[in-house]
Amino acid sequence: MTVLIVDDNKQFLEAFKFFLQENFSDRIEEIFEVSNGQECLDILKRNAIDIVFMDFEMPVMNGVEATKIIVDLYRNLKVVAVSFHSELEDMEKMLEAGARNYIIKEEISPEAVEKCFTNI
Amino acid sequence: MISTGKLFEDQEPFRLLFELSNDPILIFKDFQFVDCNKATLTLLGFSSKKEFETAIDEVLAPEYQLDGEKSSVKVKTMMNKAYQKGNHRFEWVHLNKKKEVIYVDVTLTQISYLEQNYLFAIWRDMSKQKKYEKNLEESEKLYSILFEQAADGILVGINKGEIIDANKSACKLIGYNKDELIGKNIKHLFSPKELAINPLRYDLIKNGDTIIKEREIVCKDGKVVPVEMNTKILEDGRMQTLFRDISNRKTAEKALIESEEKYRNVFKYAPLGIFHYDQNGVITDCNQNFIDIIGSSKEQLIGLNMLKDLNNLEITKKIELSLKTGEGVYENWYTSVTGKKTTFVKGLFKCIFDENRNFISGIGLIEDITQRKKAEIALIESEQKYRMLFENASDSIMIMNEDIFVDCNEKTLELFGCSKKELIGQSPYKFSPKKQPDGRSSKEKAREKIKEAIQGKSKIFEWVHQKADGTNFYTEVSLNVFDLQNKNTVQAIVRDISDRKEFEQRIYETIIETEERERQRLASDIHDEIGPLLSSLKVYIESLNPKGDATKQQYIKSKLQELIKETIDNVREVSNAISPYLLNKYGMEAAIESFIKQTENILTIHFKSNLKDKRFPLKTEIVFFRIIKELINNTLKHARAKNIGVHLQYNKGELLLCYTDDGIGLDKKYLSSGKTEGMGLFNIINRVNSIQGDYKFYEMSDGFKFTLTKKTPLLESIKK
Repeated sequence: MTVLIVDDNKQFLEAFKFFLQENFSDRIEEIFEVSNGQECLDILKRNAIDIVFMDFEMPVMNGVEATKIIVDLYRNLKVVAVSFHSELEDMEKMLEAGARNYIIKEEISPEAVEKCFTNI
Repeated sequence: MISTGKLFEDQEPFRLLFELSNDPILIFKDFQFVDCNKATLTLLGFSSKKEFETAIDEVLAPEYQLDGEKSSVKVKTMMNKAYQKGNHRFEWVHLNKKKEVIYVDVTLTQISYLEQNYLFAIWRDMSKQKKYEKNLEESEKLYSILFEQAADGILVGINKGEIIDANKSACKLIGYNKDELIGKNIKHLFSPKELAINPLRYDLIKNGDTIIKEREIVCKDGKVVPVEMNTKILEDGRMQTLFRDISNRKTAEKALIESEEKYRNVFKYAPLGIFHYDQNGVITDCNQNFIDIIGSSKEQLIGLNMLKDLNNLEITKKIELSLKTGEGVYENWYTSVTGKKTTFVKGLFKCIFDENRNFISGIGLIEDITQRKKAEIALIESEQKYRMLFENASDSIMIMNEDIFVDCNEKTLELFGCSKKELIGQSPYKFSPKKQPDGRSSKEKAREKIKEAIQGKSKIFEWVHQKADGTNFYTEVSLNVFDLQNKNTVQAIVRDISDRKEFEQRIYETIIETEERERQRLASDIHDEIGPLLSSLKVYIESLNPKGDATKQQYIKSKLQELIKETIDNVREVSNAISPYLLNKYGMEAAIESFIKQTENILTIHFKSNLKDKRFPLKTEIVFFRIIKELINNTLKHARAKNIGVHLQYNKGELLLCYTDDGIGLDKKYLSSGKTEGMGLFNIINRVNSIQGDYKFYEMSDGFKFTLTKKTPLLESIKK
C-alpha cells in the first residue's frame, strides 16, 4: 500500500510520516509527501497511490479542490481528510468533495489511523 | 298915572339918561307903576308902553317867585324895605310878552320929589347869569354824581395834601369812611418807605403839571394796594387825585412778565434751537442753541433770508409751506450756509396768523439728532452686518417663536431643499422623520429639547432631520434662547454633520474590522503555527515506545525538544503581537529598535530618538508604538519607498513623533475614500483620538510625512 500525505506544515508532515512508518510499517510500502493540492495532482500522475491524507487549508490549491479532482480522476484512490478539531465544519466540505473518512490532528493515534484504513 | 315928562321936564339931561339907558328903569309912586324906559320894553318884548301897561300886573308879578313866595305879597315887602331903608336890592322873576321867565336884579331906590315919594327901579337882566348859574348848578350836580359814582377813587385836597372830599370808590378802596378821610393828610395813606421812594411832588402839581404815578396805598386794614394816581391842581387851587386799583393789572402784568420770562428761559435754555422769522422768511431772532446746532454766529443768522440764501431746496420749500399753510417739517442732514457744519436736524416751522389770516409770527424749532441718527445708522449697519452673517452663514440658522419657525437663512433652504414659504410657520418636527435614532417621537423630543433650552439646560445635540424630498440626514443642533419682545425666541443653528457622521461611522467600522482582522490573525497564528506544532508533538508522542529501538527513541526525543522550542518561540511571537513584550519591559525606544530589525533586509529605516529609557503612561506608549508599526507597514505595503525616517523626541512635557518616507506619497483621497487600503490611516486617527493627541498628515508630492504630538508626563525611567 502506498500512502501520500498532503500538508503545508513541514513539521507535521515529518511527524505524521514518522508515525505511519513506526505504526503501520507492516502494511505501508511507500510514503509520499507534498505540501499542497497542486503538488498532490502532480505526484498522482507519476505514482500509483492507494490512500491520500489530505489537509484542508493549504496554499496554491486547498484540500477541497484537490479532493474533487482526484476522486474523479482516480476511482480507487481513497482520500482521508486531516484537520484540526476547530475545522470540523470544513470537514463536511471535504466529505462532500469525495473524502471517504477523516481524522482529527489532535486525536491522531494508531487506533484512529487504523480505523481509517479499515473503513476504506 | 303921573308923567315922568313932568317929573324931569326941567332936567332934560336926566330924561335922556333915563330914556337911553341900556338898563331897564321903572318908576313907581307909592306902589303904582308910573313910567318905564325903552330898555324895559325891549327886555320884555313889548312894542309900546301902552301894550306893556295892559299886561303889567302879570309881567311884573308872576304868581310865584323862585323862593316860592307869592309875588303879590313879596312885591310889597320889597317895596316897603326900599321905602324904609332908602334902597333895596333883590332878585326878581318877571315874565316877558311871550310869558318866558326873565331873571332880573332889581335895585329899588326911594326918591322924594315935590313931597311925593317915588320908587326908582333899575333892572339888570340876570337871565344870562341865571342861565349860567343854573347850568353851573346842574353841572355841579352832574359833577357830584360823577364824583360819587366814579369807578375811580377821587380825593380832593387843599394846601399840602389835606383831604377835603372823597368819593365812594375812594372810601371803598381805602377802607375809611368819608368823615374819617376828610381832614386827614394824604401822606398818611402811604408807607414812609413808599414816600421815600416816590415823594409827593406838590411843587410840580402847583406848577400845573399832571402827575401820573403808580403807588402803593395802605388801606385802613393795613392791606397794601397798588394804585395808579393821577393828580392835578384845579382852577380854584384845590388838588384832585384820581386813583385806580391796579392790583389786577399788576397781577396780569406780573403774569405777563413771568410768562415772558418763562418763554425767555425756554428760548434761552431749551435743548432746542429756536428762531423767529418774518413773513419773508427772514430770521429775526434765535437762541444760542440754534447757533450751536448750526455752528454759526448770531450776526450771520439774524437777517438771513431762508427763502433765498439757503442752498438746501428742501428746507426752503418747507419754510415756504409754513408761510402758506402754517406748518412745515424737515428731517434730514443739513449743512449750514454760514457755519459749514453738517448736522442731522429735525425742524418744525410754524407760523401764527390772526383770524384774518394776517401773518403774526414764525417760529422754528430745530433739534440736533445727529447722534441719534448716527446710532440709528450704526444700528442699521449692524443689522445689515448681522443679516449678512445670518444669510451667508455656512450653517443653517433658524429663528423660532417657541416651536414655530419665523425666519431662516439661505443655507437652511438649501439644506432642507424647500422654499421659505414652505418653512415659515412650520415646526421643527415637520422636518424630521417620525422617530429619532433612539426610537423616540421626533415631535415629543423636539418639544422637550426646546423646553430644556428655554430652561437653560442642554443646548447642543444631534438630530436627524428630513429634507423636503424625504431624505434623512444627520445634524448637530445648537439652541440659543433670547428674549425678544417678551417672547422666548429660539435660535437654532443646524449643521449638516452627515460627512462627520459617515466619517465616524467609517472609523467605527474600521475599529471593528481591525479588531476582527487582528483576532483572525491571532487565531490563524495560533492555529497555523502553534496548532501544527502541538499536533506534531502529539504525533511523535504517540510513537514513543520505551521498549522500542533506542536510536528511534533518541530521534523522537530530539524532535520533541525541537518542536517544543519552536512552540515556545511561536507562543512568544503571538504574545508579542498581542502585547509587545519589549515595549512593556524596556519602553518605546527598545521596542521600536527591535521591530525595525525585522525589516532590515527590505528597506532602510533611520531611527532617531532622545527617549533612551524614558517611560510614559502605558496607553501613550502603546499608541505611539502601534502607530509607528502601522505607518511602517503602510509604507512597506503601498509606498514603494526606499527610506523611512522615524524621529521620536521628548521636550518640555511633549512627546513628538515625526515619520517620513520617500515613497509615492499620500493620496489625498485616501482618507475620504473609505476603501480598505485606507484602513491603516483610520486606525491611526482612531488611536490618536483615543489619547487626545494632535496629528497631521502632510500633503507632499514626493513622499509622506506625519506628525503626532501628545502632552504627557514622564514616568520614572527603568534601567535596562
